Amino acid sequence: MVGFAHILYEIFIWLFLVYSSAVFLIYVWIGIYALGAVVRYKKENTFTDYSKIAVNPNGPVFSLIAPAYNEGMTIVDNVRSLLSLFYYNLEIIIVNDGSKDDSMQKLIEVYELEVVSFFVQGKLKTKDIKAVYKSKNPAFKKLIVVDKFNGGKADALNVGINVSSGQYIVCIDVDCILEQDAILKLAKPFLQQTDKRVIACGGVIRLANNCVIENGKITSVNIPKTWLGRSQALEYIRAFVLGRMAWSRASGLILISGAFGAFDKEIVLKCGGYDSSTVGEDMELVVRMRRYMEDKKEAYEVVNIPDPLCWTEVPETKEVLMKQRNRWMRGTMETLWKHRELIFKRKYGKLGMISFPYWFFFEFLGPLVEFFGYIVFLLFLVLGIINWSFFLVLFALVISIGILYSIYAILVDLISHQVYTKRKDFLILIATAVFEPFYFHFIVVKASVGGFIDYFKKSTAWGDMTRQGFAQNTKGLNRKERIVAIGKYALQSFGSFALVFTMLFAIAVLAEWLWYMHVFGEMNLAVIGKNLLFQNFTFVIKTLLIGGILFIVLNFLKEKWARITIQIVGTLLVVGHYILFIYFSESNNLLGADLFYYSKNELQQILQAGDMLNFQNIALLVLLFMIVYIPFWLADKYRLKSIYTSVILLGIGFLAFLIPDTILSKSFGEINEFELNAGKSKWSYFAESSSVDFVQNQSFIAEFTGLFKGDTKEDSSTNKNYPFLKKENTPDLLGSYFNKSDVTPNLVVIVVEGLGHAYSSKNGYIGNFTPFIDSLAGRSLYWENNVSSSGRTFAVLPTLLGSLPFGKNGFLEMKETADHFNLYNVLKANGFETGYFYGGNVSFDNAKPFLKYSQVDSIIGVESFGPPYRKLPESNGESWGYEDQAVFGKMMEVKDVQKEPYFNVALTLSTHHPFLINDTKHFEEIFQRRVKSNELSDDQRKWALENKKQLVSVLNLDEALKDFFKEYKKHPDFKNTIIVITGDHSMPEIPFETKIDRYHVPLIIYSPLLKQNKHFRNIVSHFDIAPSVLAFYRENYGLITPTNVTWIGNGLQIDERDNRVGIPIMQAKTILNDYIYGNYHLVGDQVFKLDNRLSEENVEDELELNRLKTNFEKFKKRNAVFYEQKKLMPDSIYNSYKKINIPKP
Amino acid sequence: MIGLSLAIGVHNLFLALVAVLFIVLALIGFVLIYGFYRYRVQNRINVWTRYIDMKITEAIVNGSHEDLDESVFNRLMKRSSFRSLFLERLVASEKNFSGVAHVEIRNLFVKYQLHLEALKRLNQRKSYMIIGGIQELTAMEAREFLPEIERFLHYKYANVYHEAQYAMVALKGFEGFNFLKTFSKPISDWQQLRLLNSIVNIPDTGTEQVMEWLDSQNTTVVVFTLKLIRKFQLFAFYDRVKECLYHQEVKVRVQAVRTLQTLEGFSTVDDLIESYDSQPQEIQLEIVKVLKAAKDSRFVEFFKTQLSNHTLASIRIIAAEALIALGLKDYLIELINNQETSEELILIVKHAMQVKRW
Repeated sequence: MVGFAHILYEIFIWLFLVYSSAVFLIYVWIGIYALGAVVRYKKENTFTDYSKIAVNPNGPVFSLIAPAYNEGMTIVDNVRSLLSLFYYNLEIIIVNDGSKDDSMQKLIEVYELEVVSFFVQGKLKTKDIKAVYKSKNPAFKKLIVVDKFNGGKADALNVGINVSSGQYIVCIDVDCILEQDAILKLAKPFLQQTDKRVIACGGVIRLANNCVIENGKITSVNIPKTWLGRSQALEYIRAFVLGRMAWSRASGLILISGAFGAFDKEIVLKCGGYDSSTVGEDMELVVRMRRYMEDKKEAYEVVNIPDPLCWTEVPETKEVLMKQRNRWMRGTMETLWKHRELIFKRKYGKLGMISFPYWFFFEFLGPLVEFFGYIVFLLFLVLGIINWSFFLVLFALVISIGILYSIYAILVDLISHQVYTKRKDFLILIATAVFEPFYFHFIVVKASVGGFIDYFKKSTAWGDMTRQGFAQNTKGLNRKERIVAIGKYALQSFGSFALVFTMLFAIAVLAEWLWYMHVFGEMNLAVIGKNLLFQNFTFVIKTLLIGGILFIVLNFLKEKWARITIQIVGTLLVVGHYILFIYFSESNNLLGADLFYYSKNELQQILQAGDMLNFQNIALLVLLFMIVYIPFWLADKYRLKSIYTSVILLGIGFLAFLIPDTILSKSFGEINEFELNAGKSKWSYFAESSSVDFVQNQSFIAEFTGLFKGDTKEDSSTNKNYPFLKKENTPDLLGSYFNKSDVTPNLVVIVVEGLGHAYSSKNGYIGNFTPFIDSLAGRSLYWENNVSSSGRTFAVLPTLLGSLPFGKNGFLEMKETADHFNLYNVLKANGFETGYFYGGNVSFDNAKPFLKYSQVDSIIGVESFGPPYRKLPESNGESWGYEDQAVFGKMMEVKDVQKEPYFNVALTLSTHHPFLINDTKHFEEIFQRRVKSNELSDDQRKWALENKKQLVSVLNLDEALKDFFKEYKKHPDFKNTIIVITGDHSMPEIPFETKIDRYHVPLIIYSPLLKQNKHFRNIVSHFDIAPSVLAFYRENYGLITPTNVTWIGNGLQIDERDNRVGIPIMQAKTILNDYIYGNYHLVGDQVFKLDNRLSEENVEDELELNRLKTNFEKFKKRNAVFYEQKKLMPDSIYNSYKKINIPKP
Repeated sequence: MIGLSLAIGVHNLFLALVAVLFIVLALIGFVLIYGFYRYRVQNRINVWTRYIDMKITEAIVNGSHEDLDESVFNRLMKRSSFRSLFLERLVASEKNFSGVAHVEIRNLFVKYQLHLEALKRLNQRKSYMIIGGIQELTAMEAREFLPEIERFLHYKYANVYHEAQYAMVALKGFEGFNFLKTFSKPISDWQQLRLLNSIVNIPDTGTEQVMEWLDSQNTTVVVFTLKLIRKFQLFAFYDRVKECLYHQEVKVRVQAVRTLQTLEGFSTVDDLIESYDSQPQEIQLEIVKVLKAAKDSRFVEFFKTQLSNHTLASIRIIAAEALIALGLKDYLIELINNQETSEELILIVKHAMQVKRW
């Protein structure tokens, strides 16, 4: 898990690099393309004689429209400036948008205005006009002043369009100062059009700040005094001289500035004029006009000319600037949203395929990506995973590219139209290019992010994008209509949530697949990918159906609840997916209902020891929550226009429920067990496991469904109330392999955590990484094909020591330990001294009550250790406990020469996740030697390298065991001791080839008393050990053992015959799904045939399937009876044995 | 891809990024140096411009070319960029002068063999360079290079052949319009305006050609021809223009109405009235404007009908204005006061009545 933050770091870096590279390439393209456009324009127009159209009465009429709101201070001068423009057929329309100052009064006085009866021909919907004024003075005959009620800039422009009589309209801000030939230059592209209709044309806007203005004309150009102003001067050069020229040349321009732009009135009218519901009316209009032309399939152009035609005052205070940029961002978002269907639509040509995506990904997302980058940077800074040298180089590169682009823009401007001719101004502009990224840029980003947030905050005032709530819409409807309206509304709302959920889940699944690619490298990723996609898709559509129905129902109760619930649940599901797949990758186990059977402390210990509960991961989780929640929050702001999306999704979900699970959960391709699990929907598994567990816990449901206890009737052959009770008749099959000792031999059982066959034998698919154990097996009774009774540690003690059934969630999970016989209490009754040695917390997995019940004399847990014993290295301040060397050391410590025999059980720990050991280096060297040795095949070597960390810990265990034996041999007891070594299960952190691999563990019985070694290949299980051991002691050393027992196993088989005793296996505390009978392995509804290496392959054998299922069901029923009765045997049987006075050996 | 990327690892990027950083820094340095160089060039151009303008002024005022230090000037003339600027300034000055001054400017052009500079541009690949060359030769009336220019009449780029067309007309007069006969591409309004401005007369022998152009399949050629007829008031084409009232292109019909107004004969208004009902609204608007200007009292009823019944407001307004011009203001006042008159009609009439006629 530690690596997860680093991987995330790398992913962010790469995404950032990819995005930055895209931005860089676009800037390069803009730079080159704009230069060509600017140079061409300049050269072509060197000798253009504009005077020809300036005085031509046959030229088209241009209507200049200038909306004004509270411009009383400057309006008279500004209008004078406009009246001096060169163009014969020009009408100037000033629209007073309900100013509260004296604008109108001043205009009336200065320009001798009088109210006229004016028939407004345009039909655009606007606020009412109060009056139309014209001048009595012929000198101002071009002037029309419209006084109207306030309605905003777009509304005022629409009024101007309605009033205008021109073929073209020129929309400007009234405070702009136009060059006198501005209209002439704008008119040229319209007059030059031939095969392509020019629908809009814009010019370069420059800054009037600090310039000398006389009689409404710029007489001396100076660069602004403030750095904010200078930065904007530079920004305007970049935007107009580079950006818009390049896009104009590429026929991709979608923004003509509202401060100055000319439009073909006919197209404007056909499109419905300006949209007064948006703050980005200028861009929105151009997009709508282009869209109209594309729909009509008419050739058209939107043109920008590089002549500086318009001068405007820009804000020079931070507050006003931020407000302006906030508005621009909102305007951009409104336009992108309103015309969202254009994006990537081939039908809309460059508009849909290039311009719109560019605006979305770079103009809109740019500031947000940058801002997000800062957040991530801070996060990584706090997490301490910043590579500073790398970061500084990257930062310097980004800044340098920005500076380069700015300086290049200044150069291009210099080549085209040098505005800032003074040397000092030129140098200041260069200096601005260097400083701007460190100051101005951050303000703009901040304001844009503010605009982004405000867009959603203020969205309630904006037209069809808004969420009005249905309450007001359903007023006055009858009940039926109301139900339909609410249902429709709920479906529309659900649609947006469903799309967001599907998208986020798809991203999560992709992340899962990429994560596996990173972590598990060599797996069959293509098949896993297919399975992930298919199974998660099934999960998503099923979830959507259930969620959709609940959402709609909740909507009828209270809309707000429904919206809040769906946001929270959606977020939890998506985040949960990340947690589940990371859990799987860390533990190689699917998380199921077993989660609920760990206590809070146990969970905490697992998480901390696994290095999960560290600050980095918690911070990442919080970040993930935020990132996932935001799209849901956004989805809450919108609802789809139609219900079809929801209906289709719900329909598919419904169909998914109709298709049998066997089809939906079918996996693609030839894959091993681990790959199969990797491809599963983690949520599906968790949900299914939890629901089954829940049903099992609810007796009334269980009875109804018959899922667990429905039929507790036992077959006639067994005791109705104590189905596991039977006469003890286990044959002594070990005795013949041992020399008889004078005294009763000691018994030591060593249970090695995660000791799988795969890596403890040269026959395993990973190879031999336990050289000592392997050599010991050669000198012992060795059952190669032994299986454990569970996939986790929780079942090993009851199975191994008592051959006990599982009950509901494992024998140890029972609230009160049911009376039973096990090695501890039987041997203790026969005078053995008993002990349990564990380096960790004995209470883990509820082992302590079991040990207490068995009256174990010495229970050695983590608290019993101290120096010089070493703990396992801490992970996130938490260690599982003491290393294996310590556990074995402790066993030796208490092993003085004893009169009574002893029985000790040791459970090791070092080979548990997170596989942190002391002396890592030493064992890594051993690992490397083994990997390089010829003992491993190429396949084994590949497996080994992929699971190095786990195998290094195995080597550590092996050496610890070797040292233990070395020490033990020195002890006089050794020659009279029987040592049983086995694994509790195979490590799930090492991928399984087949399903049986999870349980395939070695069983070794070694003793100096052994007459011979023997290698057995028949299938045995942990259930067989206790019966056989007791039979051995009973038959050879006269120990008194119970006559009635509840063993699941029938004792170890030492011949090659088939196993005819069923072996039930519980994968986890809630999953009782595996069963071995004969040479067949049942998993759910699948049957696998086992060979003499305990490899298996899936077979379609109905007969075996039925046989296995029948036997497994029998076991389950017996187990259910036990769980129901909470007793294994009548008190009388147990007590009668306890009362027997057993002579000490 | 991402897997590969991840495999490469962030650390391995470091060197690559450092290399890119150095390249970017080097580029910044280069752009800066070039920027300063361009700034100096620009300043030098400004100085040269003043110097050249002085030279031109001296030539125009004194008719002598020797006043300035010739040695300095000749030294500068060895520089291509100076020659280019000189030519540019000559062409720019040419627009502002005529008569003797114009001759003096041309003399400078010849004296300093600036045609070589212009011809050099004609051989460039970039269209704007070719255009510059044509413009310069045209402005300097270098007719001897017409064949050089003529080859650009069929150039692939519109802006180039437009410039060549203009040069043909500017240098050859009416004969320069020969290209219209076979020209199939659209001629922009801008180009039509330039061409019309550049032609000063039409020879008598040109009638046949004009007639031919009116039959052109190229709508813009027909439109241009109608404008030409209008400019030179070629009455002989009246009937032919009348036929254009029924041309399939509305643009042509609009020009036909306007041209008929210029060529106004006895039957013009009747001809227009005759076609009125069959015309689209755009043409009807043009016709009503002509009829209004004609101030013919025979059409009072026509205007009354248009004012009351037409669907296009602009036609109704003109109709009302025409009635005012015909002295029917009382009728309109009565109309306003009539209770049954619609609000819209009242507004239209009021609008028409207050129109100032400066």
